[in-house]
Amino acid sequence: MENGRESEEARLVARFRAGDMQAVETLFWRYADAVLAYATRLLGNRADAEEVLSEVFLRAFEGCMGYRAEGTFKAWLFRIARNCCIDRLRQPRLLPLEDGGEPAWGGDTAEVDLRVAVQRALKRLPEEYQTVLLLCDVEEFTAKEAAQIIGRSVPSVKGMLYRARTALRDALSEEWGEET
Amino acid sequence: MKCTEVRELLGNYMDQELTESMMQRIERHLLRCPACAYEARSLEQARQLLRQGVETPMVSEQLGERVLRHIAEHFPHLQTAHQPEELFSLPLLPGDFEE
Repeated sequence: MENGRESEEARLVARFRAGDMQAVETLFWRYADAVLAYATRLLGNRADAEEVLSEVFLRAFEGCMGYRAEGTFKAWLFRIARNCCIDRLRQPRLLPLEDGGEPAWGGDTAEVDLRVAVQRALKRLPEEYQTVLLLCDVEEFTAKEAAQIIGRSVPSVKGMLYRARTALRDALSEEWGEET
Repeated sequence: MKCTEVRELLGNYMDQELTESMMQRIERHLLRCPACAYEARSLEQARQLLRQGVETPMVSEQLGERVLRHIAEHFPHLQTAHQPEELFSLPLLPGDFEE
Protein backbone atom coordinates (compact mmCIF):
# COMPACT_ATOMS: atom_id res chain seq x y z
CA MET A 1 0.00 0.00 0.00
CA GLU A 2 2.86 2.34 0.91
CA ASN A 3 4.55 1.44 -2.37
CA GLY A 4 1.31 2.23 -4.19
CA ARG A 5 1.23 5.66 -2.61
CA GLU A 6 4.91 6.22 -3.39
CA SER A 7 4.44 5.40 -7.05
CA GLU A 8 1.28 7.52 -7.22
CA GLU A 9 3.23 10.43 -5.73
CA ALA A 10 6.09 9.88 -8.15
CA ARG A 11 3.50 10.23 -10.95
CA LEU A 12 2.16 13.40 -9.36
CA VAL A 13 5.67 14.84 -9.20
CA ALA A 14 6.15 13.99 -12.89
CA ARG A 15 2.86 15.76 -13.67
CA PHE A 16 4.02 18.81 -11.73
CA ARG A 17 7.17 18.89 -13.86
CA ALA A 18 4.98 18.74 -16.94
CA GLY A 19 3.05 21.79 -15.72
CA ASP A 20 -0.02 20.21 -14.14
CA MET A 21 -1.26 22.51 -11.36
CA GLN A 22 -3.80 19.91 -10.29
CA ALA A 23 -0.94 17.61 -9.24
CA VAL A 24 0.47 20.44 -7.11
CA GLU A 25 -2.91 20.91 -5.51
CA THR A 26 -3.23 17.22 -4.68
CA LEU A 27 0.18 17.00 -3.06
CA PHE A 28 -0.37 20.27 -1.20
CA TRP A 29 -3.75 19.39 0.32
CA ARG A 30 -2.60 15.87 1.16
CA TYR A 31 0.12 17.17 3.50
CA ALA A 32 -0.66 20.82 4.23
CA ASP A 33 -2.36 20.21 7.60
CA ALA A 34 0.40 17.87 8.78
CA VAL A 35 3.17 20.29 7.77
CA LEU A 36 1.41 23.25 9.40
CA ALA A 37 0.86 21.28 12.60
CA TYR A 38 4.47 20.10 12.70
CA ALA A 39 5.81 23.62 12.13
CA THR A 40 3.44 25.11 14.72
CA ARG A 41 4.58 22.59 17.32
CA LEU A 42 8.25 23.08 16.53
CA LEU A 43 8.16 26.87 16.28
CA GLY A 44 5.69 27.37 19.11
CA ASN A 45 3.53 29.85 17.24
CA ARG A 46 1.15 29.67 14.33
CA ALA A 47 2.05 32.92 12.56
CA ASP A 48 5.59 31.76 11.86
CA ALA A 49 4.31 28.30 10.98
CA GLU A 50 2.01 29.74 8.31
CA GLU A 51 4.94 31.57 6.72
CA VAL A 52 7.03 28.43 6.87
CA LEU A 53 4.24 26.43 5.21
CA SER A 54 4.54 28.46 2.04
CA GLU A 55 8.33 28.24 2.10
CA VAL A 56 8.27 24.46 2.61
CA PHE A 57 6.07 23.79 -0.40
CA LEU A 58 7.97 26.24 -2.59
CA ARG A 59 11.26 24.58 -1.70
CA ALA A 60 9.68 21.17 -2.14
CA PHE A 61 8.46 21.91 -5.66
CA GLU A 62 11.74 23.59 -6.54
CA GLY A 63 13.47 20.43 -5.40
CA CYS A 64 11.05 18.23 -7.30
CA MET A 65 13.17 18.59 -10.40
CA GLY A 66 15.87 16.60 -8.61
CA TYR A 67 13.54 14.47 -6.50
CA ARG A 68 14.13 10.77 -6.70
CA ALA A 69 11.75 8.42 -4.98
CA GLU A 70 14.03 7.58 -2.06
CA GLY A 71 11.58 7.07 0.75
CA THR A 72 8.19 8.71 0.80
CA PHE A 73 7.30 12.15 -0.48
CA LYS A 74 5.97 12.89 3.00
CA ALA A 75 9.31 12.09 4.65
CA TRP A 76 11.09 14.28 2.12
CA LEU A 77 8.61 17.11 2.74
CA PHE A 78 9.11 16.89 6.50
CA ARG A 79 12.86 17.02 6.03
CA ILE A 80 12.42 20.34 4.24
CA ALA A 81 9.94 21.49 6.90
CA ARG A 82 12.41 20.73 9.67
CA ASN A 83 15.19 22.63 7.90
CA CYS A 84 12.89 25.61 7.32
CA CYS A 85 11.88 25.61 11.01
CA ILE A 86 15.50 25.43 12.16
CA ASP A 87 16.38 28.35 9.85
CA ARG A 88 13.45 30.29 11.29
CA LEU A 89 14.44 29.53 14.89
CA ARG A 90 17.98 30.74 14.19
CA GLN A 91 16.85 34.09 12.83
CA PRO A 92 17.44 36.96 15.26
CA ARG A 93 14.20 38.47 16.50
CA LEU A 94 13.28 42.00 17.42
CA LEU A 95 10.35 40.73 19.44
CA PRO A 96 10.30 37.60 21.60
CA LEU A 97 8.32 34.58 20.50
CA GLU A 98 5.01 33.89 22.14
CA ASP A 99 5.86 32.09 25.31
CA GLY A 100 3.27 29.80 26.74
CA GLY A 101 0.73 32.56 27.14
CA GLU A 102 -2.99 32.08 27.03
CA PRO A 103 -3.61 29.63 24.20
CA ALA A 104 -5.76 30.57 21.26
CA TRP A 105 -7.56 27.21 21.19
CA GLY A 106 -10.95 26.51 22.61
CA GLY A 107 -11.91 23.49 24.65
CA ASP A 108 -12.60 22.77 28.28
CA THR A 109 -10.20 23.72 31.05
CA ALA A 110 -8.60 20.30 31.37
CA GLU A 111 -7.95 20.16 27.65
CA VAL A 112 -6.43 23.63 27.62
CA ASP A 113 -4.31 22.82 30.70
CA LEU A 114 -3.01 19.71 28.97
CA ARG A 115 -2.13 21.60 25.80
CA VAL A 116 -0.34 24.33 27.73
CA ALA A 117 1.60 21.78 29.78
CA VAL A 118 2.58 19.77 26.70
CA GLN A 119 3.62 22.88 24.78
CA ARG A 120 5.69 24.17 27.67
CA ALA A 121 7.27 20.77 28.32
CA LEU A 122 8.15 20.35 24.62
CA LYS A 123 9.74 23.79 24.43
CA ARG A 124 12.02 22.89 27.32
CA LEU A 125 13.55 20.03 25.35
CA PRO A 126 16.44 20.31 22.88
CA GLU A 127 15.28 20.81 19.29
CA GLU A 128 16.41 17.32 18.26
CA TYR A 129 14.33 15.75 21.02
CA GLN A 130 11.29 17.78 20.00
CA THR A 131 11.79 16.75 16.39
CA VAL A 132 12.13 13.05 17.04
CA LEU A 133 9.11 13.03 19.38
CA LEU A 134 6.94 14.90 16.91
CA LEU A 135 8.03 12.72 14.01
CA CYS A 136 7.85 9.31 15.69
CA ASP A 137 5.23 9.68 18.43
CA VAL A 138 2.86 12.20 16.84
CA GLU A 139 3.25 11.85 13.07
CA GLU A 140 4.02 8.15 13.46
CA PHE A 141 6.95 8.01 11.10
CA THR A 142 9.03 4.86 11.51
CA ALA A 143 12.53 5.20 12.97
CA LYS A 144 13.88 4.57 9.45
CA GLU A 145 11.84 7.43 7.99
CA ALA A 146 12.74 9.73 10.88
CA ALA A 147 16.40 8.87 10.31
CA GLN A 148 16.06 9.97 6.66
CA ILE A 149 14.38 13.20 7.70
CA ILE A 150 16.92 14.25 10.29
CA GLY A 151 19.98 12.75 8.60
CA ARG A 152 20.99 10.25 11.28
CA SER A 153 21.33 6.49 11.50
CA VAL A 154 18.37 4.36 12.64
CA PRO A 155 20.11 3.24 15.89
CA SER A 156 20.94 6.86 16.64
CA VAL A 157 17.28 7.86 16.16
CA LYS A 158 16.08 5.02 18.38
CA GLY A 159 18.50 6.00 21.15
CA MET A 160 17.55 9.65 20.83
CA LEU A 161 13.85 8.78 20.90
CA TYR A 162 14.23 6.91 24.17
CA ARG A 163 16.11 9.82 25.76
CA ALA A 164 13.56 12.27 24.38
CA ARG A 165 10.63 10.28 25.81
CA THR A 166 12.35 10.21 29.20
CA ALA A 167 13.04 13.94 29.05
CA LEU A 168 9.44 14.67 28.04
CA ARG A 169 8.08 12.57 30.90
CA ASP A 170 10.30 14.43 33.38
CA ALA A 171 9.38 17.82 31.90
CA LEU A 172 5.67 17.01 32.06
CA SER A 173 6.01 15.90 35.68
CA GLU A 174 7.68 19.19 36.51
CA GLU A 175 5.00 21.13 34.64
CA TRP A 176 2.40 19.55 36.87
CA GLY A 177 4.55 20.06 39.96
CA GLU A 178 5.02 16.38 40.58
CA GLU A 179 8.20 14.70 41.66
CA THR A 180 9.67 12.17 39.27
CA MET B 1 16.34 -10.64 32.16
CA LYS B 2 18.27 -7.95 33.96
CA CYS B 3 16.87 -4.45 34.41
CA THR B 4 19.65 -2.94 32.27
CA GLU B 5 18.72 -5.24 29.38
CA VAL B 6 15.05 -4.38 29.75
CA ARG B 7 15.75 -0.63 29.80
CA GLU B 8 17.77 -0.94 26.61
CA LEU B 9 14.88 -2.64 24.87
CA LEU B 10 12.08 -0.56 26.36
CA GLY B 11 11.86 1.79 23.36
CA ASN B 12 11.53 -1.15 20.97
CA TYR B 13 9.02 -2.70 23.36
CA MET B 14 6.90 0.46 23.32
CA ASP B 15 7.02 0.49 19.52
CA GLN B 16 6.33 -3.25 19.36
CA GLU B 17 9.44 -3.82 17.32
CA LEU B 18 10.53 -6.99 19.10
CA THR B 19 9.82 -10.63 18.46
CA GLU B 20 6.83 -12.08 20.25
CA SER B 21 9.03 -14.14 22.56
CA MET B 22 11.09 -11.08 23.49
CA MET B 23 7.92 -9.04 24.12
CA GLN B 24 6.75 -11.78 26.46
CA ARG B 25 10.08 -11.92 28.29
CA ILE B 26 9.92 -8.19 28.89
CA GLU B 27 6.30 -8.38 30.03
CA ARG B 28 7.23 -11.10 32.51
CA HIS B 29 10.02 -8.88 33.83
CA LEU B 30 7.66 -5.89 34.15
CA LEU B 31 5.28 -7.98 36.26
CA ARG B 32 8.06 -8.71 38.73
CA CYS B 33 9.99 -5.43 38.70
CA PRO B 34 8.14 -2.31 39.96
CA ALA B 35 10.95 0.06 38.89
CA CYS B 36 10.96 -1.11 35.28
CA ALA B 37 7.15 -1.29 35.26
CA TYR B 38 7.00 2.35 36.39
CA GLU B 39 9.52 3.31 33.70
CA ALA B 40 7.48 1.60 30.97
CA ARG B 41 4.13 2.92 32.19
CA SER B 42 5.26 6.50 32.72
CA LEU B 43 6.94 6.70 29.30
CA GLU B 44 3.80 5.39 27.63
CA GLN B 45 1.67 7.88 29.57
CA ALA B 46 3.94 10.74 28.47
CA ARG B 47 3.57 9.60 24.86
CA GLN B 48 -0.22 9.52 25.17
CA LEU B 49 -0.25 12.98 26.76
CA LEU B 50 1.92 14.30 23.95
CA ARG B 51 -0.49 12.92 21.34
CA GLN B 52 -3.50 14.38 23.12
CA GLY B 53 -1.88 17.69 23.99
CA VAL B 54 -0.17 18.86 20.81
CA GLU B 55 -1.82 21.57 18.84
CA THR B 56 -3.51 20.37 15.64
CA PRO B 57 -4.11 23.43 13.47
CA MET B 58 -5.73 23.04 10.07
CA VAL B 59 -4.91 24.95 6.91
CA SER B 60 -7.81 27.25 6.11
CA GLU B 61 -9.05 27.45 2.54
CA GLN B 62 -7.85 31.07 2.45
CA LEU B 63 -4.33 30.15 3.55
CA GLY B 64 -4.21 27.21 1.16
CA GLU B 65 -5.36 29.41 -1.70
CA ARG B 66 -2.66 31.94 -0.88
CA VAL B 67 0.09 29.33 -0.82
CA LEU B 68 -1.09 27.70 -4.05
CA ARG B 69 -1.27 31.08 -5.77
CA HIS B 70 2.26 31.77 -4.57
CA ILE B 71 3.43 28.45 -6.01
CA ALA B 72 1.64 29.09 -9.31
CA GLU B 73 3.31 32.50 -9.57
CA HIS B 74 6.70 31.04 -8.74
CA PHE B 75 6.55 28.39 -11.48
CA PRO B 76 5.54 29.99 -14.78
CA HIS B 77 5.11 26.64 -16.49
CA LEU B 78 2.21 25.92 -14.11
CA GLN B 79 0.42 29.10 -14.98
CA THR B 80 0.20 28.03 -18.58
CA ALA B 81 -1.55 24.84 -17.52
CA HIS B 82 -4.15 26.31 -15.13
CA GLN B 83 -5.08 29.73 -13.92
CA PRO B 84 -4.86 29.94 -10.11
CA GLU B 85 -8.46 31.12 -9.90
CA GLU B 86 -9.58 27.83 -11.38
CA LEU B 87 -7.89 25.70 -8.76
CA PHE B 88 -10.64 25.57 -6.23
CA SER B 89 -13.36 24.70 -8.62
CA LEU B 90 -11.73 21.32 -9.14
CA PRO B 91 -12.91 18.55 -6.81
CA LEU B 92 -10.27 16.60 -4.92
CA LEU B 93 -11.22 12.96 -4.96
CA PRO B 94 -9.19 9.93 -3.93
CA GLY B 95 -7.85 8.23 -7.00
CA ASP B 96 -8.65 11.27 -9.10
CA PHE B 97 -5.11 11.38 -10.35
CA GLU B 98 -4.57 7.79 -11.33
CA GLU B 99 -3.36 7.51 -14.86
